Amino acid sequence: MTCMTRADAEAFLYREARLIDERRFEDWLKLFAEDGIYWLPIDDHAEPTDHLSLIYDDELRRRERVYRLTKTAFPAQTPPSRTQHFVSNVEVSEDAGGEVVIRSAQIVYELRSGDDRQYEIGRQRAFAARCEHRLRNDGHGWRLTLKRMVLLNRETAIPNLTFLL
Amino acid sequence: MDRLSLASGFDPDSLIVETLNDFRVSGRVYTDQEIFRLEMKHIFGRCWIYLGHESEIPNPGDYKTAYIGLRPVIVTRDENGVVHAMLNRCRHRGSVICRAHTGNEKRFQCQYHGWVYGLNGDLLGIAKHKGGYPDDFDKASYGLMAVPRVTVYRGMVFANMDPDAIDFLEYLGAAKPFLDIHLDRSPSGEIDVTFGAHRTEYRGNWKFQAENSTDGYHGDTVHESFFKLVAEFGNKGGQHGSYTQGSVDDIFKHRLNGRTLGFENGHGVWESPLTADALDNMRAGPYRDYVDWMEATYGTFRTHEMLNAMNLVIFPSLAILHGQFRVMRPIAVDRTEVSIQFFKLKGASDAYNNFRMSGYQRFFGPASFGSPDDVEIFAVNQTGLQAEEVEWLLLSRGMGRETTDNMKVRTAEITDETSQRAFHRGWKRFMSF
Repeated sequence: MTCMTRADAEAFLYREARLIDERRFEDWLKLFAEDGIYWLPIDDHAEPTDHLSLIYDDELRRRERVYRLTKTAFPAQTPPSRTQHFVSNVEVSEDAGGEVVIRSAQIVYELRSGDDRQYEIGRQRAFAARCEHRLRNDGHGWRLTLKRMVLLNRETAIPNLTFLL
Repeated sequence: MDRLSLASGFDPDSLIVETLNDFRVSGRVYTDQEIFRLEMKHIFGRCWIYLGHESEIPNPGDYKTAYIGLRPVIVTRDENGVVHAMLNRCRHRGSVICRAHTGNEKRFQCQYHGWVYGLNGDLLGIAKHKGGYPDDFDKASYGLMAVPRVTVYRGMVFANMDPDAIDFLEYLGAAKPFLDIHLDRSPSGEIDVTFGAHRTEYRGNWKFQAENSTDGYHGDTVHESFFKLVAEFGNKGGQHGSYTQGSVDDIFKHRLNGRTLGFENGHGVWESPLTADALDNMRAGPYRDYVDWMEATYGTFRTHEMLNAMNLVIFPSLAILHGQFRVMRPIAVDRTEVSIQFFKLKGASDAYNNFRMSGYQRFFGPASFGSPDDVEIFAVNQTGLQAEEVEWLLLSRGMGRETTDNMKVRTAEITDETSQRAFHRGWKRFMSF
């Protein structure tokens, strides 16, 4: 098995970002391997059972998250978030276990449009993050075993992260 | 989006109005800058405020910062193991002397002119002392100001700015057994509060989160999305609430059981009983050893009672629910931070504690499926209150079916606003003297 080229890795990250920004959440789910984890830690160095995480989603929790976003209405996403991802600083390597590791820097802009003089509406926020995507080729293509995003503001008081990053 | 301050004198009786079947709160209580300023003095300057848990500062030199209203505070453990709470303010020119959330230090040095304080707050050194101050300058009088009253109850550190305040347990009154239940759920009687915090903030008054933490009326609307999710996926990924599994209608029906309670001094409880099959369902998962321990220790009847979903608000700014301490921190009249610390039960298995943590994280935290919807509503509330010609918020629900016992504890049905009324009676009392 050969390592991904950087162009392949960028293409993967760009597509992932686009699926989120275009609200194609069901397609985003399919990027993950069944044992894949979507993780936004608060403590960059702690295990997920030793420190709270902003998000620690296994397959079930990810499906729940997308179900909530696509099949139910709730106050924190009424009106819903628009997002725009920016992807840069892409580096590709391979670990001893044969998984491809893509490191990148991302900025996610987020805004909820509506009566934008009301609190929480019409506020554009930027979330800067250091990202690690780990991928395994299962014979049918590359699947995420891990998407780990370490937000710059991870320990601060963060309002409303109920959209996909 | 601030109102003009009260033009004339402050009169709590005109802001919280109660008759036999009517209870109303003026919108100004949530929007007026001057009232907010008075709250920092009358409420946060006189009530017992939760600062943290001893497990957060286990070793000599450990410290954490906290707030009493707007006052910055440091909580330390000194060389002898004694816990101190001091105002985080240099006695020289007023700078904070500690800028980290947590850490371990032998002493604190002010960044401005270098005055040095010990873990117990003593002023240890003044930079370039000689000649700058009289030789008899009394350093002992210029230690960090200690918070006048500090008490540790079962590891929980509470502090009070009022030297004449009644003792914490007297203040807690008839709400004490409800606090104990949360701690007695631990096989060792101890909890571990070392898993960090979920912090969020919202553009609304601090009292909205305090009221909402025991509100049994909002769930079916604000959290309908979550109940649909539970109906669709069950609770394999982590239990939340007392209902196990069923349709949304089943959950709504079950949520009509239970009660709300209101206590003297403003405390409140919301309690939702376990479903009949809940203990059996719990035995099927990582709960098994835990349920066995509970039944052996407390008996089946008491176990059922103790595992009810039960939210306690200790007036004014602490809520204890679902294995968490939730602290409401006022920042401005229309801005509040909520910091939630999940705790583990010392002596319970890792499997059970991790399952609890997973269930907690499903509903709580800025990216979760529950609490972000609550705080969104508080901003919605604050925005609506700018229509100030509509003077009143109505908190009269269930007054007609409320009973009062000989401990002056009021009880009504689970969707009633009993605990919110207790909160505002407490508020009015502390604001009135």
